[in-house]
This record gives sequence, structure tokens and C-alpha cells, in this order.
Amino acid sequence: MAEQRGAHDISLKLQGSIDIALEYLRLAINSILFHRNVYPSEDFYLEKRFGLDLLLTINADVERYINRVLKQVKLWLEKGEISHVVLVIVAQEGGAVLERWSFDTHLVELGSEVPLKSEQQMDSEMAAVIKPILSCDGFLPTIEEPTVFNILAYAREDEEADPVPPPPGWEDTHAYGIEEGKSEEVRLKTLDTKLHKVGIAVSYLDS
Amino acid sequence: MSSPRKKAPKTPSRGRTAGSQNRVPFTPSSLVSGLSSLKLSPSKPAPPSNPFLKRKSPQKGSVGFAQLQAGANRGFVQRGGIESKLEVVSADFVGLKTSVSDSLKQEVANIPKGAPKHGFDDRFLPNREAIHPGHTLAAPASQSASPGHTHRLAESLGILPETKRVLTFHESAPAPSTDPTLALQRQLARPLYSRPAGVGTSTGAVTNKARRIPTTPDRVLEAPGFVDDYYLNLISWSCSNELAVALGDNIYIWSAVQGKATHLGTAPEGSYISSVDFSGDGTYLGVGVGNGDVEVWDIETNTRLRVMEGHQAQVAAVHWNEHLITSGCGDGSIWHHDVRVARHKVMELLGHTGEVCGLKWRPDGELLASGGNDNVVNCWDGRAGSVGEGHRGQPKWTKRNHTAAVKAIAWCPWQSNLLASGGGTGDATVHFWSSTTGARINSLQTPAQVTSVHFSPHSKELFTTHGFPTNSIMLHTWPSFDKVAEIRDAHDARVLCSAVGPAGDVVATAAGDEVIKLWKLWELPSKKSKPKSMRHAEVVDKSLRSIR
Repeated sequence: MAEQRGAHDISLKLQGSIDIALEYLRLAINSILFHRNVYPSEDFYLEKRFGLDLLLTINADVERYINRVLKQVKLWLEKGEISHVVLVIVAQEGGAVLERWSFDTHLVELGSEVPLKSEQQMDSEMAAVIKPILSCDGFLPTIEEPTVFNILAYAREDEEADPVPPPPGWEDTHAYGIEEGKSEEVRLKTLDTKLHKVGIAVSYLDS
Repeated sequence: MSSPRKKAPKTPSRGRTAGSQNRVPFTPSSLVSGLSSLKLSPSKPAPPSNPFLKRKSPQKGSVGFAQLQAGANRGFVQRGGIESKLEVVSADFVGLKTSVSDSLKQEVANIPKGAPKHGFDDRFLPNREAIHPGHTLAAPASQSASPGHTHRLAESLGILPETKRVLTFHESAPAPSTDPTLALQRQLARPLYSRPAGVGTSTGAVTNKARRIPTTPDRVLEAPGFVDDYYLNLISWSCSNELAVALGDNIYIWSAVQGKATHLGTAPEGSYISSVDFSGDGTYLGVGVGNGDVEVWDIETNTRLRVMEGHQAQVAAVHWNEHLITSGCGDGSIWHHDVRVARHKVMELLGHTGEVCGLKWRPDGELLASGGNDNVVNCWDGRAGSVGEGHRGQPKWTKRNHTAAVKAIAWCPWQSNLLASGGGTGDATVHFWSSTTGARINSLQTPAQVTSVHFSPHSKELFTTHGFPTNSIMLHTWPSFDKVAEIRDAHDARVLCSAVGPAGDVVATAAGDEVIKLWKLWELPSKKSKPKSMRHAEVVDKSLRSIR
């Protein structure tokens, strides 16, 4: 009985942890789209959260697109099927990959008594992990040309197993690598919800 | 089997080929050789193909890559347009699969990042490193560090091994809602002395929760032949609830009460209708024609009463002020015509160097506002005729803040000195002016070309219609500019003209998609006493003025 409830508690906590991770992804993606000028500043509105100024998109199409992608990512996270979510920024002309923002997700081993962080702690955690993204403008090269973004998911699949067909609306693709030898990589702070760890690293084309 | 090894030193590889080959002496080399003999065009960098995963078919490989390259060049991956490249080994290499799989699992972890790739570094693909997803460690690590260390290091840094399967969403990301080049153009064209406009939208919400704004029109009318020209003003709604619509060279009157349309008349031979406006009492219709004529039609008898010639270009804007009809011409001149006298041209106002497309009298007839293709808004004194024909007036004030043609002009019904003007594609801003001082009171930045502006008579709101690129209609509160509603793609083409119904609760919008839509955006107030008292005040005003 207690075990069942324990398991139920854990699944609740897992859900909560996944929701936090997704929220973080959503905010991070929006911030990246704004700061890296993928969409013009008119497309964004200001919202103050976690003591930070966050810019979220007004563009309904982009919001829908991101939500659909994240919906699938949530399903994958629940089953632990993906290892990385990558946001690539590609130049419109020429298709050169300019930046790769790679979020790696790890599920920490579940114990029965895992104290999740309090809401206050989570808020400050979110602020701590989002702030470095906002300050990336300091070292990332400015992007002059119009760009498009794409979101990739790295499957955490066994090499042995036959590949499951991708879920509807998703397809296999190449990894959108940055031109070899010209990429720099910087690792930023990891989000830790005690059940999930979402790390973020940005690699950019350094010319 | 050993051929790649022989060839490797000759090819323009990075020289690690031989070394790494030697370090990996196992069955996959046959796989390697088999795959390296695939016909791949050397000039294009291949995607990070995992050697242990099958390509769809060797022959199709090159075509697939071309498509992939094209796709990458366009910056997105299209559904179905690219052959899947990464699949677990199957039929073609079935012999290898079973033998390779077990050893593979270990080898995958042990292979230095670069090795399998370097096995592919042959004369066909001299720079396969280009396909690595962002690795900088790959090449040097393979020489100095142990394979396991490299892998762990790469993992810790978040560098992703190529052995992973990558999925992407099939649709490409949507385009920005605002065109960055347009925004840049607006910024550059903005006059130096203007301050940036205050943006009102605080949230992304489209509609106010407390109020249900219909996102579909109340009624849709077919308007075949509606001219898709930004500068023309082709609809007008009379106080007796009749909507006049100009379609090409025909004028139709649609009765809102009966729901029927009747044909009023046609333009003179070889010309077209460029503007329509009902007189204040709804009995006469003023019509501007493309050849410069201004006509007066009687609605009750469906006859043309008068043709007033003289303008040298199309008359894209007309507006009545009791017995005067003012016409704005393509050459920038504005004429007042007194329809009661034979010599109809009683005044000429020259204040525009571009076509006059916006023209609105203040309801009390004191002032006239005009906007033109020269991005200028002029406010004129309304007195006319008393100084005789040929007299030219000077505007009270002139504003050049807009960075595009000003077609949208509206006077505020509850604040008589408030004038709103909206700019075209390169501007997309609505400026608010005090007509007494000429000062700019406020500005509202919108996402698209402003084609018309109206103040709602019953609630303190601002209604705007837009063309390129959103084709939307928007409702904002005044003066805080909160977005009450935005209906994007209200029409399939630019929403060019709009007219508010006489009751003040419905607005008709017309667009280049040859459809007129009626939207019920406001609720009528329950008390009816107010309008009557207002009308009384108007009558008093008029009598006062006629004494002058």
C-alpha cells in the first residue's frame, strides 16, 4: 500500500519534474529566438518571471510550433526515450548551421524518498539557469543574416533494437553539425530538479 | 577489402587515415569499404552518416544527398522531401548485421570519435569532418587520448556522438510575423525628431475574456470586381443603413434592412469609380471617378444629378460636409465643391505633393483632415467659399511623422479635437493629434499597413483595419491601447476599406478578395436618449454657423 502510494508519489513528482523541465525548455527556446535575432524584436513581449525579464513570442505561429514540438518532447521525456533536444539556428541563405543549443536530459535514478525542491528553490533554480542564456550575447558572434531555427531530438535508442518509426510529424534527419574545425562550444549551467537534469551547451560557428 | 587502406594515403585526407585505420582492425572495415565505394559527389559535404547504419540504397545515395543539401540550403528539413538516412542495418547488409552487431556495441564505445569517419576519408569525400556535429575534439583526441576517454569527455561536454539517431519536426519553423526588412525600412525612414511610439499591448492575449468578440463575420457579401487598390475608398455606409459599394465601374447600393443590393449606376465610358461617400442625410451619394469627375447621385431615384469636372487625375477620396463635397485628387489638390451652385468649385487646397487618399471632415464641419501619398497629414480650416473662387487655403498644421502613405483618418466622436491618422506599409503606425494645437498626443505601433481607422462611438475603443502583411482587423482600447481583439487574416487579401454602420455596432470591411464582411463588434447601449440630444446639438451648431 505504502509502496503503491510511493510509486504514485514518484510518478507525480516525475510529472512535475518533467513539467518544470519543459517550462525551462520553452523559456530557453523563446529567449534564444529573441536574443539571437531569429525573429525580430516586434514578435516578442516582455514578461517578468523569476526576477528576470523574459521575452516570449507573440507570434502565434511560432508559439504553436514550439508547443507542438514540446508536446512530443514531453511524451519522450516521460518514457525517457530521448537524450538530447537541440535547437539549431541555420542561415536562410546557404543553410550553414550557425549555432547549436543542445539540451541534454538525464533522468536521475528514482529513489522512493526523493525530496523535490520547494517551489521557491525551483524558482531560483530556473532563474539561475536562464540567466546564463540571456548573457550569452556577450561571447556569441552577432548574427547578421536572416536565420531559421529547427528543433532536433536525439533518440536514446539501443543499437540492437529495430528503430521505432518516428511519431507522426517527425522524421529522421542529419544532425545539422557546425562546420568542422570552426565550432566553439560553451557549456552553461544545468537545471537540476532532483529527478531530471537538463544541461545546456551552446556551440557556435566561429569564423 | 584492403583497397581503402591502399588508397587512403593518396587521398587528400588529413593524414590520420592510415593511423586510425590501423587501430581498428576488425570486420567493420569490410563494411567500411563497401560503403566507401558508394557514389557520393565529392563537392558536397555529406551528412554525418553513421557507418553502421544503412543508407537507403547506394544508388540513391547521391540523389538523396543532393536533396538533403538543397534542404539544408533552404535551412529546413521538409517532410518527405529527404530520404531518411539513418536506419539500422537491414537487408542490404544483412550478412554483416549479425556478425557486426555484438562486436559493434563494444566497438562503438571504443572507437575514437574520428576513426570511422576517417575510414571514409577517401578521394570522394576529402572533408568528411565537415559533417561532424560540432566536434572540435574529434580529430586531435583520436591521436592522443584513449577512445574511452574521448567518449566520456565528449559526453560530458555535451558533444553528441554520431551514433545517435536524430529526429526533427517535419514542419519548418514559421516565418516572423513582421518582416525585418520592413521594420528596418520604417526605422530608417522615421524622421529624426520623432520619438519612438509607445506600444500598448501588454499581453499576447487576442481577445478580452470578459467580452466575446466574434472571430467570424456576421455577414458576408460577395463583391466581385472590387478593385484591390490601397488608395481608393470604395465603400460608404449611410445613416439610413445603406451600404454603397463601388465595384470597378459600377456602383451598388446594398440595403442592410432588406438585405438586397441594387445597381445604382456606372462610371462614364472608359473610366472607373475611385471613391464613394454618402451625404450626411443619406439621400445623395458623392462619387469620385478615375477621370477626375465628381458626381452626385440621387439615391431615391437612382439618377445622376450632377457631374462636376475639373480635376486632372483620379479622385480617390471624397467627403461631404452638408452642401459641400470635398474631393482629393491624384495630383495632390483638394477641392471644395458647392453642389448648390453652378460654379461648383469654391475652394482649392494645395497641401499635398502626392495623391490624396485620406479625407475626413470633422463632424461639426470646422476642420478638414487630409492624408496623402506624400506621407503628410494636413489639417485645414473648414471655412470655405466665403472668399470666393480661386482662393487657395493654407493648412492649419502639417505633420510629416508618417513614413508611408496616410489613408486612414478618423475624428474622435467624444473628443472633438482628437484626430487619428494611420500610415501604410512602411509605417504601420497610428498617430493621434490634437487638432487645436497640432501636437502629437500618442502613437500606436501596429504590425501591418493601416488601411482605415475608426473610433467606436459607443465604447472608448479604436478600430483599425490592416493590409500587408497580416490582413487583420484590430480593436484597441483608448487611451491605453490594450489590444481588445485582433482577427488575423480577416480577409484573404488586404483589408482596404471599412465603414461603421449607422447604429455604431457593426463595421463593414472590404478587401481585395472581393468579399465584404460585416462584423458585429460592439453592443448597443440600452439608453437611446443620448443620441437624440447629440443630434439636437448638431442642429444648433449648424444654425450658428450659417449666420457667418
